[in-house]
Amino acid sequence: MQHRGRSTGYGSLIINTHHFKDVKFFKKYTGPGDWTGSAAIVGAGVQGRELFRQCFAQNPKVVIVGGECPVCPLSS
Amino acid sequence: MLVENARYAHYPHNMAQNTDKFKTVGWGGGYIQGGGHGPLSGIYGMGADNVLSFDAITAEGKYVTANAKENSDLFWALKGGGPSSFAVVVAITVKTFPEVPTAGTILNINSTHTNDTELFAKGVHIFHNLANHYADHGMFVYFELGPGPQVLHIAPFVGPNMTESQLAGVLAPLYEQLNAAKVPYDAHTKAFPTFFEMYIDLFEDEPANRQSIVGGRLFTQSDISNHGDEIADALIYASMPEPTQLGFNVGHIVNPGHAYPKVDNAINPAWRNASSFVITNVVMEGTESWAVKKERENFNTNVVGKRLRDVSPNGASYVNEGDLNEPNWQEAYWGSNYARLLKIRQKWDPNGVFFTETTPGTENWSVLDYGTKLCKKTSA
Repeated sequence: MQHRGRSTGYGSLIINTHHFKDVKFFKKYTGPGDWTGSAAIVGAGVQGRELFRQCFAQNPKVVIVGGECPVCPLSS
Repeated sequence: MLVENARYAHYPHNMAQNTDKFKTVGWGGGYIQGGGHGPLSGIYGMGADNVLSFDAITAEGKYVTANAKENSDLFWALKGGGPSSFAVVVAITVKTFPEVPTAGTILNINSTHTNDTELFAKGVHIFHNLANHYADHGMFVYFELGPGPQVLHIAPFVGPNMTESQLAGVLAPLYEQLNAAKVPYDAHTKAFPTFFEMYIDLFEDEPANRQSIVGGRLFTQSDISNHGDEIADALIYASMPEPTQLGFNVGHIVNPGHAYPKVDNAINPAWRNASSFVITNVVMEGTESWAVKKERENFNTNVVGKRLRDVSPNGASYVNEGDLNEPNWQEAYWGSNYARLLKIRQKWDPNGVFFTETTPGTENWSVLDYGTKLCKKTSA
């Protein structure tokens, strides 16, 4: 398989972040930025539908803005 | 990150011309780093609008945090400045929002309803000319026009925070105009207690293994107001641009500016006045010769793409779902944000460790030898 990226050139490197799948939910965000509502830390390998599903399992249920594509990772 | 351009990850049919990128769907996409539109963008903004912090590895190999306090320039650029361009993102802290009751409508106009091409075209015009109206209500509308003539599949109209009757109310002008023009269609509406249940029920999985050459255009509110009919005609054209060339449009009507009129991030400012973002596909077999693929790429950019650009003077393009040969891609993908992005790229990745085509700072690199080699250009 070929990629158009630098990663396939001689001496180059591909990093697969697909397995960074941790998600942590917080009721209240206290870090920098103008936001004190709820938040989540999402690993780079988490895909759209699996993220939506985890959001739905929270109490109370939450949503995160993601695409309609079920298999796209949110972050990487 | 590095692995892939998000544009290949989003749609299976975004397959590039020469390779088999498609197997890697789900790897290292770039949703957020390209901006990220979605079904809730009309009420909660784009993906990148909602990021609070990135954990990332820089080109130098340092682990950094990028947020409003630390490395704020990198933070700004990672929010929509281009996939796989500024750092390797390993985790994102993002706002979450309360779930909302959501209603959805699926509507079809196709050859089971009419074989009259003019009547069909009328239906497409009526539907798409109301794009600003849907977007002004915080809606998201996913539609497919094509492949080929006489197929309009709207699946679904998403009404976040709407009951069935509220959504029917917003769609009333659509039904009235279709009925007045005697355009036949079928439609059904369903309401759900949550967005997630609507998403699972009404969104369809995207078809796998379709090969195509991708283009796309973001039509702004003013373009829809001033050139709606020409835009609708251009989209109908793109669904079958030549008698032997199938096309396929995947449309997304949404205005993230309805949620966040002003933001401090790298996403093309044109998205704040967005109305309809449509991905076009010149459908391919995938087995064509290199020469044929190159000729079809040219057709995609300079015939189909040109027609879309010509009818949308205030429009833009979207890096995650766009043409690899987009003319003036810096301006088309990032507008007035490009100059700042280029500076940030030069600061955080001065040696060009990262590479994705048509992303900030890659002007001086060329892909050679049938897409297999990447080289620095010898002269500017």
